[in-house]
Amino acid sequence: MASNPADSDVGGGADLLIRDALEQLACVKDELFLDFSTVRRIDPHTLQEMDRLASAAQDASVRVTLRNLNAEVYKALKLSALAERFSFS
Amino acid sequence: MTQTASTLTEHRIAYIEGLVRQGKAAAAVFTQYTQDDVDRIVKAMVLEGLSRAQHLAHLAIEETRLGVLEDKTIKNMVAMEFVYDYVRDKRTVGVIRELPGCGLIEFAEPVGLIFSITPITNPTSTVLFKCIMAVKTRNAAIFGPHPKAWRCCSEAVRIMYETAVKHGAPEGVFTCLESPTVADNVYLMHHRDVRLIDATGGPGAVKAAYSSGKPALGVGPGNTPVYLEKSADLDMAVVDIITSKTFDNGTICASEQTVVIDDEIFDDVLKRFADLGAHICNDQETNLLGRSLIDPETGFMRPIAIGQKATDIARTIGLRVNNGTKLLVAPIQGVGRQHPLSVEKLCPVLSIYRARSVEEALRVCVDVNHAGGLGHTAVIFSSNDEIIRRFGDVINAGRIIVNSPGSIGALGGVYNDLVPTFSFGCGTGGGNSTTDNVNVYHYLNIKRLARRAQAHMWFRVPNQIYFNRNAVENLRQFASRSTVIITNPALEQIGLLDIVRRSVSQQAFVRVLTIPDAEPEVNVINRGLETLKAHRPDQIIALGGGSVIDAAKIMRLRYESPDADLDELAAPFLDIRKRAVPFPAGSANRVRLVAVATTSGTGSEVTPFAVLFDQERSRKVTLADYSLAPDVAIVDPQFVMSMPKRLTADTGIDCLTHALEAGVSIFASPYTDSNAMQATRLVFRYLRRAYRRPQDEEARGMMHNAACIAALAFSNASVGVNHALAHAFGARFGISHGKANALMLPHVIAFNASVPTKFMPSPNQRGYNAHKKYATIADLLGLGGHTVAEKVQRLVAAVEELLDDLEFPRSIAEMGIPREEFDRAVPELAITAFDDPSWRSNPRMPLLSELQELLWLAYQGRHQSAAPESSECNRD
Repeated sequence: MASNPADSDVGGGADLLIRDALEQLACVKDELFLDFSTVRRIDPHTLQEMDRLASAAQDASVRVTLRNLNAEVYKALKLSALAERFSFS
Repeated sequence: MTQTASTLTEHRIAYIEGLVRQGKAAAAVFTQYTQDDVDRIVKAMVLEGLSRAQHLAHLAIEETRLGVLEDKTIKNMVAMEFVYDYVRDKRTVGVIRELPGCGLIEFAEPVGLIFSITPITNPTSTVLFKCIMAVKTRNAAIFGPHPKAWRCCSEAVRIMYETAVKHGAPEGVFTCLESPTVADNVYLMHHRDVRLIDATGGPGAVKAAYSSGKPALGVGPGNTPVYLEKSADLDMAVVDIITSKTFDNGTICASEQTVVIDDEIFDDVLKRFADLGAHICNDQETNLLGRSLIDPETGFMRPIAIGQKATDIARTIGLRVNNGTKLLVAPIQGVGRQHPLSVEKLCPVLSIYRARSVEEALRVCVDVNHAGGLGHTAVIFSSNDEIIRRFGDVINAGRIIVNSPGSIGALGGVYNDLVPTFSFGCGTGGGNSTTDNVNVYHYLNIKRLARRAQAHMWFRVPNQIYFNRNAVENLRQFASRSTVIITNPALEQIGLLDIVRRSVSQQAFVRVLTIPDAEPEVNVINRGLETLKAHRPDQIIALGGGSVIDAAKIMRLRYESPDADLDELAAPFLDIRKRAVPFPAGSANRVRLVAVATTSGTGSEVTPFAVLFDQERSRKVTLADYSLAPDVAIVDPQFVMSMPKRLTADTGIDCLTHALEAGVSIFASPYTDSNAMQATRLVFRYLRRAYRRPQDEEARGMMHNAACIAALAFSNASVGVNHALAHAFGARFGISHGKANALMLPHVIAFNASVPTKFMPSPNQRGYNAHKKYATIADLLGLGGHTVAEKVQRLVAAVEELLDDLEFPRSIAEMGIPREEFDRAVPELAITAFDDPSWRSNPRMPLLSELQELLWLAYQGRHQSAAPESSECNRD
């Protein structure tokens, strides 16, 4: 289990967070927590990265839980059919 | 051969799926944007579009070979400048409108990914327009241009896309199909991630869009009729028509097609057309044009002339015209297949028709309208407003342009205040979903947040109520020329009529109308009406119980509003303020209605209700309206001193039922509560005394007041299920109203105090509180008890004790009604009670089965009511 707070803002900030998460996947057991509290907005590139993260997590049998996600970003995930591939707390 | 999505190669499908993926992601991301974000992006796009207007016009002309460079440039600029002028201040993100008076807030929700089909005739302008619309509404779009215009469209999309993304729009927000095919369109129209199809184009594309099963904005071809009426400003009209019909060589589908000209001005108009550069065709030339331009198989125009210059068309078909000819004008003799030029011609060819009358002109315009132009556009030039309005009424067109050019007029924002657009909705006439000029609001889902409304309540009472002994003497202060006193013979015999007569103003000429002491029948009302007509009173005094006062209310209504239809006025309603049939508005010089009550129960002296018995149809007609209420009520105990003992008990319990039902009604308010509670208190304090000692004037007076006060409450809060049931079984078994109420009352209190199976919608109330209000009444009566349940129980017990003291039967069975007969009657009684409007203000909505249960409880008798302590509602 790992927690990974990020200092992110509109768009690209979240990318760093996801890149770190992708790197940690190999050494995490069961569940990975990502703190999205500072992510105000995501862009199409971030969506792609999150898609990649979801696939990698599935392959590694790791559940990725997004913490403190704002409703606007959650809605964007929902509309792009990504929400069901993550857990939220 | 029809192309379908199945003809696509795997490679092509992968390409299209890529576009969809980008668009879907962009649309999802776009939902996070603010109004400021999109406004900033839109502004940048508009500025870029304006600077590239001529460049894109060049590309369009080069690729399509249609239209006029200068006009296409203007169209591109209109698509930017005029559309921007309309949308710049519009809110399209988040809260877009607040209606505080209605408690409504409207929010904008983007539709998502749009598949946008654009036409060959206005390729780049339509793309520019739709890009602005998409960004302004936070949507993404895939463009499917006409196959013969895709390069110029692709460039327009590229310019808009790069500018948008540069200023913050999500990547993938616009894409454009390269080398598009019909099969691409079909595939995208059925794609699950495409949320809306916006098809501006030919009828095939529009029909396919609507057939896809997806929400679609499909806007198609037209056939614009023009009525050039004799009162028109001809200088303006002819120039406007030429301007419009030659604009971009007639490629705008709103441009004029057939001009119907009044006979009186026909020759003059033709000369003006010719003077300004139009060629007027003779019969042979008209035939040649028809044969050449219109396909006789389909009846539609051939592509050869679309968007071409008049001189080029003439040259192509072998028609000799002067150099510089702007327009070919072809007289036609009718509309339809025999007159090929009566259809849409997207080129500078204009049909004209000579009309011998206004009616003929309108008929021909209707024919043109129905020959392919339904729902689209029509034009009239006239200064006769009546004819303009008739034209607007008979023509089915989303845009009816008056005294201005059709094509530019329909685009909006230049000659009028229509919404600027490049997509004309044609309504159901054109197989479209809207008649609007399509704009940003068609790209949004509008969400409405509706706050709970603070119900407008009321408390309406008669102007004047006089009470206590000799209150009747107040009659003297009311000036009257002619007074009619309505009463019944019994009251005349015991001298009550004389008391009233002595109190009426000396100046009044007084007539007496005696009527039977029973629910007023139609013939009684009609007889009374004749008396009123004969004596033309300025004052009516009703002396009697509920029946007499009700009769007087209805007579006054009929006298003042002879056309009032009592059947219509008796139509059922849920809310007196929203009733389907309003009562006639009272005149300024109404006849004063004074009610002198001689019983202490119905409260008719202050209520807005009146019951009429329609003997012919054997039914009661209940009228309810505040205009029925008397103007003056006299509550003078001397008129009730001789009430028989049984009547005292019956009317007293009727009064108590009014008060208790108004107290828990869903229309109860602090105003009605105060009256309901005070009336209840007075009944418990004085009814026994009045019953036991009929000459106890204080008790009589207080019960008389109680009845009036309870009536003030239920006039504004109404009654409940007790009355509905009492009306039903009272009428069925001939049981007096008071007794029927008494038999139900303890059971109904217990029923209302328990958890409802079904709650009544009641915006006036916050939560279910009938049990608490009964408990408050119990407190007021000093009945004791610690919990709400205990208090309700004690109230029920107190009511039962009162009923026993007043010697009411304890059950319907005690009334001598056989069980079998009651058993047979119960299902219908429940239905009758459910039809009764009285229960609609009851706090608990009664189910039919519950009405039956209540009837059985009343049959079996008191002390068997459902125990309220088991109920959730009886918690403190």
